[in-house]
Order: sequence, then structure tokens, then C-alpha cells
Amino acid sequence: MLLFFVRRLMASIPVLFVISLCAFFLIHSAHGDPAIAMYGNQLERMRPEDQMRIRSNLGLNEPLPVQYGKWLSQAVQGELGRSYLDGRQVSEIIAARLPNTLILTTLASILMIILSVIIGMIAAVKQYTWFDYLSTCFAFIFYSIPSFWLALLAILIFSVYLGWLPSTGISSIGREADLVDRLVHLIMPTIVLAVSHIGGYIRFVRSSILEVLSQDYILTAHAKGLWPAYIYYAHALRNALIPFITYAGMSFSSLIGGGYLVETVFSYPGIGQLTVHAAATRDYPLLMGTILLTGIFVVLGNLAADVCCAWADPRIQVEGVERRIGTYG
Amino acid sequence: MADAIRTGFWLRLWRHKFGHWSMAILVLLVLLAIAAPVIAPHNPVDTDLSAVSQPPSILHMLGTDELGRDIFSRLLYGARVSLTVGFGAVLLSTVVGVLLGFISGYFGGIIDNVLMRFVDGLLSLPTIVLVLALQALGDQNIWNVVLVIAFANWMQTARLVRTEFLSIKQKPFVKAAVTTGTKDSNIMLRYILPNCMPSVIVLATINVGHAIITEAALSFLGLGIPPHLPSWGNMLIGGQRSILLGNWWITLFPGLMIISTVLAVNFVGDAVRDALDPLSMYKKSS
Repeated sequence: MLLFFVRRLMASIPVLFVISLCAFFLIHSAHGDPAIAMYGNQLERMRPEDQMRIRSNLGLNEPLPVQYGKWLSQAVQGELGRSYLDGRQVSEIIAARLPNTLILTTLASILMIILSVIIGMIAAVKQYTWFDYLSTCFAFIFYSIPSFWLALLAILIFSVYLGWLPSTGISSIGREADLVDRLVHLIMPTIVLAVSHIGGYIRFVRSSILEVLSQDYILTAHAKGLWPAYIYYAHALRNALIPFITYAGMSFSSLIGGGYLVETVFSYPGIGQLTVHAAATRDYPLLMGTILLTGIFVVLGNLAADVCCAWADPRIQVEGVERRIGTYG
Repeated sequence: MADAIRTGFWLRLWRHKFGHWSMAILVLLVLLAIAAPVIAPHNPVDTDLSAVSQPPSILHMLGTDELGRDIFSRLLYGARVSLTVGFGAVLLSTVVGVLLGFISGYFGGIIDNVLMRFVDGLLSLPTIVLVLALQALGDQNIWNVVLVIAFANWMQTARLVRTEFLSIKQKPFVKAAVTTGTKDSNIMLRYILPNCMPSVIVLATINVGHAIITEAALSFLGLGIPPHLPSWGNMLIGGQRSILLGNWWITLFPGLMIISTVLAVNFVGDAVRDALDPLSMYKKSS
């Protein structure tokens, strides 16, 4: 298991490298160079020697690969530069908002996985009944709904018309330490994020359970006279879970992206709102930081999915070893 | 034979449960977008401060937004933007994806490796983050949005084409062509490319839906289509501004347009998939 984990970890290094390259390229293609991005039109009005001084302070007179090396070695140590707008450390700004995004994404993932497994499973077991048609229909519709629009609609219905839930933010003013208040603020973003991504998951669970149910060993289990609910849970679900985990890992990045949009609509102070803000104000160091962080999120998510797969299906771990034995022996 | 398959394709496409309805909706949308100047009852950019945020009425079929612009007219013009961006971006990204997939499959080795790692890296960033980052570099205009969304969408096509290329390359009919001394360029264009097309078309159809949603999201965040142009995403900005007033029509209608378009595109994609692969349809019905 450890060997498998290390191998997967090594495989994600090139991905992180490409992401860091993209982030670096971003700031260096931004309107010429970072000096112009930082000072804008004012730079042209400065004396040439001042311009030179600024550029050398920023390390811009060195060749690009050297600059990239320096930037990367700093980034690895968590030193991501300062925001153009308020001059604070990028890592500091991000760290302050990271927990909010983690909470929202985790809660939404859990809710989505539980709901989609339950609905997808019932739809598969009761194939071609009204429940199956209804859930497939909803899955298709939710697959096509933009998450930010669903968020707007939820605010309209539950905050404006019914007045049940708060529309924005993370806590009410003056009640920052109140846990219940915070949870109430989390309800809508979590549900909207989960529901807007549930369509693909339901369809996937349904089709993979159907595939498992057509296998011979399910027939055998029925023939043995096992209780159907036990067959569905212990035989079908367990086996359908493996492709499901892979699918969840693959679509993790779209969940993160959807979360960023949902955060923005609900003015939820997380990484997503920060990314949008950084892009809108062209705060490149901050944008680079959030891009790197997002990449790391997704890579970690994929890694977790792979490890879960290997845990659920021990054959996956062995496969690599067998291949090696095959070549050597 | 080829003709029979082709006619069969259109017939199967037509027979798909939602296929022809979805295609009809898409055709209708395209016609509405083209005929927008004729149909639209009001100028989509004319503000009317005496009729701000009016609910749907006889004069304004779907109401007016927070600046008094007619929502129905704006939806019609917005269809132009959304369809242009959706189809334009996907056309571009598909061409680039097929090209890079071919390069990767043909050359192999280090070129293939570098390209595919690059694809892996870009794919691990959510589309919206990639698009936001790129939009922060350039100016806001519709062609930039097309370019940016195309750039965020070519990776899956490239990966798919590379896989198809490698598997088709092993097929006997390609080997036969190699044996008879057919030129590489000829083999790629006339043997491999046509056989890649079915899966590329299916992926492209799905991508159109993604591209339309991405454009709406980008415009909604104020970083896409310039604010003075009517686009469905831009209209939702107004919806958010007046949401606490409870003006539901400003939010509801653009969203319904996005959903019905994307839904229609996805159903067509489903129908195309089934029509290109008759076996899967047989499996489904049995």
C-alpha cells in the first residue's frame, strides 16, 4: 500500500510542475512584465534608471528559467509574494480563507456522494419505474443547470420570499462565534453546490450498479436465497463503488470550480471569491497563489481517490507488482 | 455501404427519443438569434428609466431589467452571443485538440510525453479558474472570450484523439496501407482521421454545453462579454443586483434560456452518440 501511495505521489509531481509553470507564465505575460502590472502607466513616466532599479529589485533582469527557479523555490517554502492591492503576504490572505473553502467543499462532497449513491441505487434497483424516470430526468436537468444560477434562485426563494435562510456571508454581524449561526449560513451554499453537481453522479451510480446487477454472481446470490437488500448493499454497491470513486476523483476539479462560483454568489469568504476578486482587480501574485492552491487541491483529491480505489479493490495495488514480476521473471 | 451507414445515421439520430425535439429547439434558437433584429420588440440596449424593473406585462413580455431594458429583446440578442461563443470556442478547441492529439500520437516519445503531461496539468485546474486567469490577461471582447474558452477546452479532445490514433494505428487496414507504401500523410488524413471523428463529434457536442455555461459564468462574474452587450451571463448580473428586491423575472428567464440550450445540446450529444454507435442502442433496448 505504501509503495502504491509513493508511486502515485511521484506521478503527480509533473502535474504540479505544469501548474506552477502556468502560474509563472501568467504573471510574466501579464501586460509585458510584473513591473508594468504593478505600476501601470506610472512606470512610463519614471526615469529610466528608476525603471531599471524597479526591474532589478523584482529580479526581472535575470533569464526567465533562473527567475522561475527562484520563484518556485520560494513558492515551495510558502513565500508567494505580496498582493498588489493591500501589500499583505499572499500566503497570509489565502491561509485566512482556506478553512472556509475546505469546510464548504467537504460538506458538499459528503452530501453529494450520499445523495447520489442512494438515489442512483434506488433508480437502478427499480429500473424503468417512475422513480427511475424521475431521477434520470432530474439528473439531466441538474447536469445542465449552472451552479451560480441555482444559487441565485435559492437566494430568491429561501432568503427573499420565504426568509428562512441568510443570503450571504459566513455569519451574522456580532454573532461570529456562534456555531449554530455559522451552520445556518452554510446550509444554502452546501446544498446548492451539492445539488448542482449531482446529475452526473446519479447517472454514473445508476449505470454502474446496473452493470454489476447483470453479473452472474448477483444471480448466484439471488439463487442462494439471500435477502435482496443485503445483495444490493454488500454485493452490488461494494463493486460499483470502485468506478464511482474513480469518477468522483476525475470530476473533483469541476466540483472545486463550481464551489468557487457558488462562493462568489453567496459572498462566502473562501478561496473562490478570492480568485474571482484577484482576477477582476488583476492582482497577479494573489491570482498565482490561488491557482497553485487550486491545482494542489485537485491533485490531492485525485490522489485520495486513487488511494480509496486501491483500498476498495486490492487488485489495483497488486497489478503494478505483477507487471514487474512479469518483466523480471 | 458508406452511404447506407450515413443515411442510417440521420435516421437513427431522428428516431432518438429526445433527439429531434432537441435539434428542433437548437434550430429554433439559431433562427431566433439570426432574426433577432426583426423579432425583438425593443432595442436591447435602450434604457428606459420610466419603466425600470417592470414585471412581465403586455408591453414587455418578460419584463424589464434594473435599467428598464426589455428582457425578451435582450434574450434574443443574448442568444447570438451564447451560440457564437459556444460553437466558435468548440470549433476552435476541437481543431486544436485533434491537431495536437495527432502530433502526440504520430511522433510519440518525448513530444508525446511532454504534451500529455501538459494536458494533465491543465486538466487538473477547474475550467473556470483557467478561464478567469486568462481573462485577467487580455481585454474584454467577444473574440477574446472565444479564444480563452477554446484554450480551456482542447485538452480532453487531444487526449481522446491520441488514444484513438494509437488504437487505430494497430488495426489491420492501416497496416495494410503501410505495407502497400501509402504515404504517412495520406494514412493519417484518409485512414485514421475519419475513424477518429465519431468520438470527437460526441465530445464536441458535450463541450458546446460546457462552453455556453462557462461563457455565462465568466460574464456573470463581470469578466466575460463587455457589459454593454446583451448576453445571458451579463443579464444575470442585473438579476443579482436586484435580487433582494425580489425581482425574479430578471434572474429566471436568462437562466431558463441557458438551461434549455444546454439541455438541448446535451440531448443531441446523447442522440449522436447512440446514432454513431448502433450497438450501444441495441444494448440499451435489450
